[in-house]
Amino acid sequence: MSGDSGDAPTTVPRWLDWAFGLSAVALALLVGIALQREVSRPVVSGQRVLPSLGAVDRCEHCHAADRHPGTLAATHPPERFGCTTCHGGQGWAVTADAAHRAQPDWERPLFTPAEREVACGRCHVSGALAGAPALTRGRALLGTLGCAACHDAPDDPDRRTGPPLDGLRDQVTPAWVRHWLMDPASLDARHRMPAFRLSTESVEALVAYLWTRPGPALRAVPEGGDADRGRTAVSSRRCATCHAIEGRGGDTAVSLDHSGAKLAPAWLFSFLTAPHVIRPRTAMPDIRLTDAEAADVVAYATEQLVPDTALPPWTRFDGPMQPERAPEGARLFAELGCAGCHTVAGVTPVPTGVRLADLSRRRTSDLPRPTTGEPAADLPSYVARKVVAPADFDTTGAEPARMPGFALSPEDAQAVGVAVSALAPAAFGAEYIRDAAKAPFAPPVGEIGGLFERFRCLVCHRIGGRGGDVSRVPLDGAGTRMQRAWLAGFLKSPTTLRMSQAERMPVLGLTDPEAEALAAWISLTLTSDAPAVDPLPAGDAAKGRALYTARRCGECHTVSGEGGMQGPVLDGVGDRLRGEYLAALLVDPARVIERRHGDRALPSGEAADVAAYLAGLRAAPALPGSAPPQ
Amino acid sequence: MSTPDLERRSTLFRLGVGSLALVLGEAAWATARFARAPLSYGPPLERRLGRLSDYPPGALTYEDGARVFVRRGPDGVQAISAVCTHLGCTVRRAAQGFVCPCHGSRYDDAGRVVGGPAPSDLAHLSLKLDAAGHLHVDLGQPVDPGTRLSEG
Amino acid sequence: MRALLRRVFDSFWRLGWPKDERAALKAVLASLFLHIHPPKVRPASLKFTATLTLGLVSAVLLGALTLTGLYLMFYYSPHPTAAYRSMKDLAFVVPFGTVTRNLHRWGAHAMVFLVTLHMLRVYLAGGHRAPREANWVAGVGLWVLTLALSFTGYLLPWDQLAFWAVTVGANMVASIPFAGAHLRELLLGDTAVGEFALLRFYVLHCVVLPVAILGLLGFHLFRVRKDGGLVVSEQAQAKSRERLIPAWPHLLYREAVVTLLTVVVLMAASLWLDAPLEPEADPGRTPDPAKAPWYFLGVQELAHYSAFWGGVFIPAAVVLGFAALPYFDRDTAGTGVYFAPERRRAWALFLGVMLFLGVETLIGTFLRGPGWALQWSPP
Repeated sequence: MSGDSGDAPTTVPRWLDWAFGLSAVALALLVGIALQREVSRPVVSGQRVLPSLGAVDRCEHCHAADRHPGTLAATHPPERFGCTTCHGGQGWAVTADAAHRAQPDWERPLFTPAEREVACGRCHVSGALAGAPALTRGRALLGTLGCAACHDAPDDPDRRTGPPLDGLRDQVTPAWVRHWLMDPASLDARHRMPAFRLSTESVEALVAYLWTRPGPALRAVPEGGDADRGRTAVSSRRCATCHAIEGRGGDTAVSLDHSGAKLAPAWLFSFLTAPHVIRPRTAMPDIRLTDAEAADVVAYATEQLVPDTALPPWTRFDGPMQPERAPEGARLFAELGCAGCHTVAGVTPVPTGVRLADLSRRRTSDLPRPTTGEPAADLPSYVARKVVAPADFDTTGAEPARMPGFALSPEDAQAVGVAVSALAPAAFGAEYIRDAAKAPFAPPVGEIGGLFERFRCLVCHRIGGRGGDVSRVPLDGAGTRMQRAWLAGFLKSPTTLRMSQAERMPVLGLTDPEAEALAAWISLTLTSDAPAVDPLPAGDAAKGRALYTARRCGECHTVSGEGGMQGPVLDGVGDRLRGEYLAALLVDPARVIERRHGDRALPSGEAADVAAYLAGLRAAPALPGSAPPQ
Repeated sequence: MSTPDLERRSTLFRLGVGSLALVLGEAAWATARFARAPLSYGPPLERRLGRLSDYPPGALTYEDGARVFVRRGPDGVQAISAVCTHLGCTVRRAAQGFVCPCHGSRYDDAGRVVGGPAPSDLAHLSLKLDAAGHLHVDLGQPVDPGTRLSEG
Repeated sequence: MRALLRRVFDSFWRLGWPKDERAALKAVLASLFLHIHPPKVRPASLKFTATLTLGLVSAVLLGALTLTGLYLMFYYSPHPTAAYRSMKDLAFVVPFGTVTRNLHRWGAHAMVFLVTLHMLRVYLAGGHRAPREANWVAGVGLWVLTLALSFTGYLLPWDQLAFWAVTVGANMVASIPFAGAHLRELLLGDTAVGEFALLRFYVLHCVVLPVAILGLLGFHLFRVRKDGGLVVSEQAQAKSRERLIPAWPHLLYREAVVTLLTVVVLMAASLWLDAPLEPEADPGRTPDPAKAPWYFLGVQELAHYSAFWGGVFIPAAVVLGFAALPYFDRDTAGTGVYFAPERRRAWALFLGVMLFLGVETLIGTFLRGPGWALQWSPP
């Protein structure tokens, strides 16, 4: 560029013309390129602005909204919910790459299937959701696994999922405790206690500490217990609904196998006769076993509920106690947050883990990386791996590690991940939030409350969204469905209505006045708005019987021992169901609250005949296996 | 002293000046495009109003969020825009019809101009009823003044 | 009609296209836009090596930034709830939004870099010496204003980079003894970077600082002419006494070409390189490492050792020291000559300071990883 150096120039050098002309042409071209790019870009259309969801969605620039498949779009129209609320991605973007995939300026790509269920949970902030099975399962698991014990609310006694440990020394042997702490899975395949990865020294210290804790006074087992009578009692009281016995039975409570070898007889006897004295918060109902009955059950346990081999497996952990390690055990007990699940007098639990709602605000890119293998694709997967294998994220190698590992199936672990991820409150407008737990059922007080407390009704039954799911049909509306007299009889001596269901209502041992009072309470309180159906005219029972066959009711229902097992037994249905409910069930099943019978409505003429037939079925309810009357 | 070469008229110079003129044209076009981005964060034209039962029969109710009058008459419901057709002020209810406070345009009860500078009658707007029982008015959809939403 | 148009045109441009040297001189003197040029210039000043065109390119960039900034203001909304959305709208919806933002961003980076080089070049040529002391001080002021404009503009996208760079920057201010906390609140308008900080930075960036820099630039250019044009060596000065050449067309044509080339390069960069954008500002989540803008990374690197000494004292000392230089450097030997042996100590010291800042900037930019720990491979 120094072409014009030297003497003062008088003419403008030629190269300046070149530079001027060419750069001007270049500029015109460059601006032309910008114009061409703009012209070839379609004008953005279809923007949805939803301020109260914080969404500006331009998805319809490419995706036509009216082609959304599935039923959810009908209840969640894009005009109201936008697209990114459920699907994630970058709503602002109008190119496929920017909208769907992670970008430097947008770290969250489209939701994975798990994250889509998380999205459901951000508006449906509690309770069960039919469209989100993992979220529903995960929410239930969050309660039963006792996550809150360490993470959110350790001081809430309702959240303590483990037994109290005062008096453990009167219940089991040190060897059993050692075995349990080292390898609970080999004692109980469905155990709930997570694995804390404890060293032998830590286990010794904990055992030494626990053996310093006295429990409630026990009563001695009276003489004369009979194992066979005990076995009959366990069977007739239907303990197997909750407890597995000889490998079969429910998983609501601990398996009774080996309990004869595991439990001290005096403890078992005391617990059976007064469960709520020994374990004030146990799920076990007080079924009023007499001392003699309890002694029989203890005899049954000590003679028959023992390992086949001569010695129980935990005898290999036999060894001397080391009482001097008790202070160390007390420290460990506090550090590990044991008190979050296990009540011990005088020990106040403190949260030892992160707040789960805080965790659920984390972005995928900020999550800790596992020491081996691929990092998690999304937050639910990270949580799923963390609850099952916390050691994968443990870079310190400290012993004992604080976060225990839970023995969960991959599906359950993923469900927990979904539920935890959905805990962060969304900054959505209140009109979008659906809170099923807003008015949960409050157990009654007074006499009925005492019965609820004694018989632990809510362990199995669900009322108003609260309670267990051992019984599959919620009790809401039971008063509208059942006759009061039948309810009283059932509570005293429960019959089996659904042959297909393994869980049978245990025989709780209610007195007559108690059963009457409870039945009256159910009839008056647990009502639902009965669907308005015109009363049925008088029908012809004989015609109804023919229709019963013609309409193939027997495919699901049993009468006199014949028929399917899907639906409840119909013997005695005339005494059981209230007339209006029966009519509604037959005429307008879709409007009956639990939507049973689906859409198999009968014309009202036929319904009258069938109702007349059913109302006549007042035969004594058939017990399973008993011969049909005649 | 030689004369400096002031009058450059070489081909390259002309090409350069021509290109710069082109750039100016391109920039003007780009500016026009730039100025008209399809962006809008204003409220939607369709607005949800109250339930039918919120409007007393026979009365005229003003909805200030949507700037419409809702009249529930014996033959159905109608929505009359409260936006003056003169220069867009909000008209007020008068003893007889509507009056615009800005320049004194006057309308009768049906929204027809009866005085002042307003060039046309008040617009009647499309109404519909959703499943939950709320009225919706579409501010972007004028309808014939005879149109009523039947309450059936 | 034609005559009327002619009369209107002539009323604005009285002289017409100059036909001879006399007319050319008159054209320059009579025009508001041209009279900041002297009517005649020394041939030596026109040489590329005399200026490296750094000052002109900086001024052209300032013009481009003013224009593109004006465009951006039409779609930018200075509120935390809308600022980042504006960035997305520019990127995805506004026609030419991306290229406008790119021009503004790359232009700003280039300007900071070139203004710094310009200052370095002027010092090496001895351009700060009498009679140009005041203009040198004005130049240091322009440098500071350029940095301030860049820094205030940095917050406006309201992304993570912006938020945390400004948080870090504001906390350096807070380390000033006694007044620090107050100054920080004065800068942010609040106790933390938020709504008022954004509004404050917006007003500073779009009104206060541009007015200041354009005013000071006018003074700067005016003084270039009044101080006797560009600094040249004694030798060149002697030679040019014999012959000056008219600014029209020699200087103006060259300026036009440099302007065009600058715009071409900036436009090309903006068409094919997109300005970075990070996720939306999240006060609850600090990126690691949280870095200031690159031109402040030297300062951040120093601040890493001591917030006050490195973050405030050294930068202030450098700026004040630069401004004070001409009043202590009163020699005249070697003026107008790059790397004059007579001035070896002076330029070596200055180069040393600039090199130190440059190296610190490079360390801060490339060798600092998470936790501001040294890492030996650039990220």
